[in-house]
Amino acid sequence: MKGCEARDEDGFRIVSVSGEVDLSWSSDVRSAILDALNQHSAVLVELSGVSYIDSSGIAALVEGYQTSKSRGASFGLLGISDAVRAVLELARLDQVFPIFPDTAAAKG
Amino acid sequence: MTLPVNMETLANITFHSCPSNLQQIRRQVRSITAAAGCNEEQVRKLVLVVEEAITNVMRHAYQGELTGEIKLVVARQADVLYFKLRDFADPVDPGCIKPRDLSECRPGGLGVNLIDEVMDSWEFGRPDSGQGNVLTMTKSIERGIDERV
Repeated sequence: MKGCEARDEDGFRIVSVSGEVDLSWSSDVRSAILDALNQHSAVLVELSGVSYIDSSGIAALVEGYQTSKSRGASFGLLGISDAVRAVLELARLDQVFPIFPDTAAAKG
Repeated sequence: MTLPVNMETLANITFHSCPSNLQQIRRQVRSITAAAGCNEEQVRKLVLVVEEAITNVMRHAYQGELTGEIKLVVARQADVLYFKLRDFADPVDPGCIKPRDLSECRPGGLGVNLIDEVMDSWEFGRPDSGQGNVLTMTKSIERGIDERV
């Protein structure tokens, strides 16, 4: 089941993404992330439910990260799956994004 | 890059340049590469980069047109897999198909880097006849630990 859902938790707007993220709907992921950044100054993208992600999905994350930096907002990835971590490592982006196991770690 | 004459064709798939086809193509590439003996990690990487190559065709060769024809041939000679991707779009300048500097953190343009990182070799050019573009990629099969003995 693919989709994006936003919720507020522990002072963060969390965009929870699930399913296989590819070109067919990565623009929806991008919109959800940018919408969250338009409404909140602390955004986490939860990726534990993502079983596959390609470079179009990674591009949505990079754009969110860059947008947050330009606005002085905070941005990070939450609970990334092995599938996501493998692609981030392949693209050498695993050291770029703040990655947190949970919201408590993100607050710290 | 010309495919070897005595290779074994594992799949010959034709589909349209509609992103909704990607999931099914991934399933097929997963099944083909696993059956060829690739280990799980290699299967995952090959599925990703073949999809990246197809995505590039959809975005840059067909520029979002949903009905362009794409052909994917997967073949094997000994322990080497060949992936040949053919489209029938206007020719793309081969000089534009190159990895970018990954130290620049910016969205987009990662597909060729992923292909370059995972595949043993790749070559982009024109088909022997007709319109379009051809990307040929090769990769040696990496077997699971229990299959090496």
